[in-house]
Amino acid sequence: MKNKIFDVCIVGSGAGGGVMAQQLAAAGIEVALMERGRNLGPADFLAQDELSNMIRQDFFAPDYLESQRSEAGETAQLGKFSLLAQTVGGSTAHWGSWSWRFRPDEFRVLSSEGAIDGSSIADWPVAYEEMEPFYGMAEQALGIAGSAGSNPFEAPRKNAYPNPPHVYRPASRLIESGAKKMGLHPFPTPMAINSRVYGDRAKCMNGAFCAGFGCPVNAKASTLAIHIPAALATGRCHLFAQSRVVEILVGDKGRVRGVRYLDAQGREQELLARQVILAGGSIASAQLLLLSKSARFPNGLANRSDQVGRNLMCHVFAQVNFEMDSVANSFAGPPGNIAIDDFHASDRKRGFARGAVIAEAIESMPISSALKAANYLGAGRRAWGQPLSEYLAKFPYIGGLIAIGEDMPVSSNRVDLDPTLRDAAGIPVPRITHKRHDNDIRLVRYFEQRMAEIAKAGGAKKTWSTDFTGVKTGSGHIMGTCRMGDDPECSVLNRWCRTHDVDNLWVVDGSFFPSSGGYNPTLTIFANSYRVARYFIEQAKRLDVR
Amino acid sequence: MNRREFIQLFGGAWAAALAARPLATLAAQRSDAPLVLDAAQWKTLAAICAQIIPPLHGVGAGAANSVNFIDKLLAHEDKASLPAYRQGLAALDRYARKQWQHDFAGLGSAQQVQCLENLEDGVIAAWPQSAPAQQQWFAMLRFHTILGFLAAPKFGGNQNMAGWRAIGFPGHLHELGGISDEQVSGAQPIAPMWHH
Repeated sequence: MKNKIFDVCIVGSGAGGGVMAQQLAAAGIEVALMERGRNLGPADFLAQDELSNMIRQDFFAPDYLESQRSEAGETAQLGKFSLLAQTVGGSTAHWGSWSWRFRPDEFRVLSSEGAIDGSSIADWPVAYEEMEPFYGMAEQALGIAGSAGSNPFEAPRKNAYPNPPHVYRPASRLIESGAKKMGLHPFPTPMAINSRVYGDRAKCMNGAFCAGFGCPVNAKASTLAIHIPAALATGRCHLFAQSRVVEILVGDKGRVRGVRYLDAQGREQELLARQVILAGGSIASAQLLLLSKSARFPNGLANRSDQVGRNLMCHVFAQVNFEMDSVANSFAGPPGNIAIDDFHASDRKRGFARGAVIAEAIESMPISSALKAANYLGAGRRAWGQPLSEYLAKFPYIGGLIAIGEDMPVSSNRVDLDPTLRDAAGIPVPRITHKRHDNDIRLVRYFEQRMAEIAKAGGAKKTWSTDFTGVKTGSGHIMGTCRMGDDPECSVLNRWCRTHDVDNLWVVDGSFFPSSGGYNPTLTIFANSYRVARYFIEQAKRLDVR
Repeated sequence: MNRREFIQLFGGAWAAALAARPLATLAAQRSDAPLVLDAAQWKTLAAICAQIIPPLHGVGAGAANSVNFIDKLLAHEDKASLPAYRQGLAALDRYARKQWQHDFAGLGSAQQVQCLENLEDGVIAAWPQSAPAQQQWFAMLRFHTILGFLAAPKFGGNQNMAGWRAIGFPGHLHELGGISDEQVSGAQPIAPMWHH
């Protein structure tokens, strides 16, 4: 393949890259799909366990390093900010699968709210109406289980979900009962997990190892199960697993000409392509652009605006657990089956901007549950000994709620290259600088109260919160870092996710989000990728790819 | 493929190669005998684990053999923590002997609890410089004990799924081929892994 020139090189095989590979290959375009992770599949996923996948996180990202700090001026320390999977299928291999459409106002946050101090909020260059058909395509492809129209607050939709919702467990029914008593409108959480056999994928086996895990029966939708096999079947997609791209190569006219990567044996290789599409996630894509310095691009590729890496978002989560009188079955079934969206709309009278969806979060992981003992016990009791054992005995009776809060984009929250720390390949690790905007904290406090009220109204014996605002931690919802916009001075990508600076370079992972929305982001990454793929194919002749 | 074949095919060393800490997993599957802790250290650490998670429904970190999990971890991928453990265990025994004339394992339960409370609070006087900082080490002990109680049995703790049985976690349902919607809803009971 030494002198071969691919039409397109896609870097990363998750929601953004997997869809592009499938759509482009189906349209006759020859694609190289680069993935730094291993090519694991359902049989491998049987060997997963909580320690490997959740606590150590070395099943899907065994040699991945990041450094983090809260503000410029501090020395960043090695630590895990993101919870991302590096494997064929990317984070869709291990996602929780909750699949929401952003609301129309979530595409025009600046217009809805006006400027907010300390935040870089912006409108998307794309409106909901433009995204709507692509959300529909994504829902059909993934086989979303849900009940169209059951959420009175959701964005308008033209199509129903392809599959019926999942069954409620006892904890879901407590939430349903509490919400109804409060006059709220609970509905089944839309999930990309098969509630029945769909296409060639199995029905969910209710194992409850979903978020953070690969599905052993492909009931959970992923590019690994859906898009990549379809792309490979065309004969026009070449998958390079365990191939880590470390530089985007720039040609003499300021266009990119391919990538330099480390193969499975760690040897340097070059792969040439007419178009390069980045889809390695919001941290890796920013890192790669910043690593790709040249005389023409001394601050990194596509970074004339100095916006690459900025406006890093990770959502802000509020979590409330509750204790039931009887068994909650939180260790069985899909990862949370009921949701409440009554509090989503922004209302500045609440003391903060924006909002969140509330959904059942299952308490399915024994170690993670044990590590939250102090939150149950309160400050006055030691979280070991007799009190710890008393708490652990409650495990089967515990249910949970989580709010997925829209966090404020902040320009100084960013990814750049750590000046001293390097990984095993000698490459500077991505340095995360992240400090929460006050609005995030106020949002969390409000939603903690609403969730506790719902659980208590449903008959919970006790409720308690777990605070994620004070710790230096991100999430699996990494967004921003290459925001999309019409103005090249303050955005990295145009409305088609093509970089303003380099006309054959694109970014289609969560990097493009100008704001984070109060919903899990993945369905929006999928939908956007279908949208960009359609444009790319329409433009293919002009793009010099057939 | 029936369930037994399924587990045989995907169990054992093959699983260890994919899982976290593969060397510790393999070591744990080979033997429950101490690998790096000497008899006295093992005894002290086992007593600490038993106090951090005392029996619930009759089983605590002692019966689940959390100490074996920690020994395998310290023998392999977390061997960087081994010196801290050795120094810390020795310092704790010295402190126990000075205060109560017995090694930690020989103390009464109330004295052991007092000893660990002092460690957690970082108030043990004359704690040696060479030993790990009291509060950080206690946090590590607590973390490792919980892992040894509740991590999958292949890692050397949670023996015979003792920790899972104690807390009422049914185990890796995915390894059993899953459960029905009626079991999720509560209409039918869920048979835990150890009933299969």
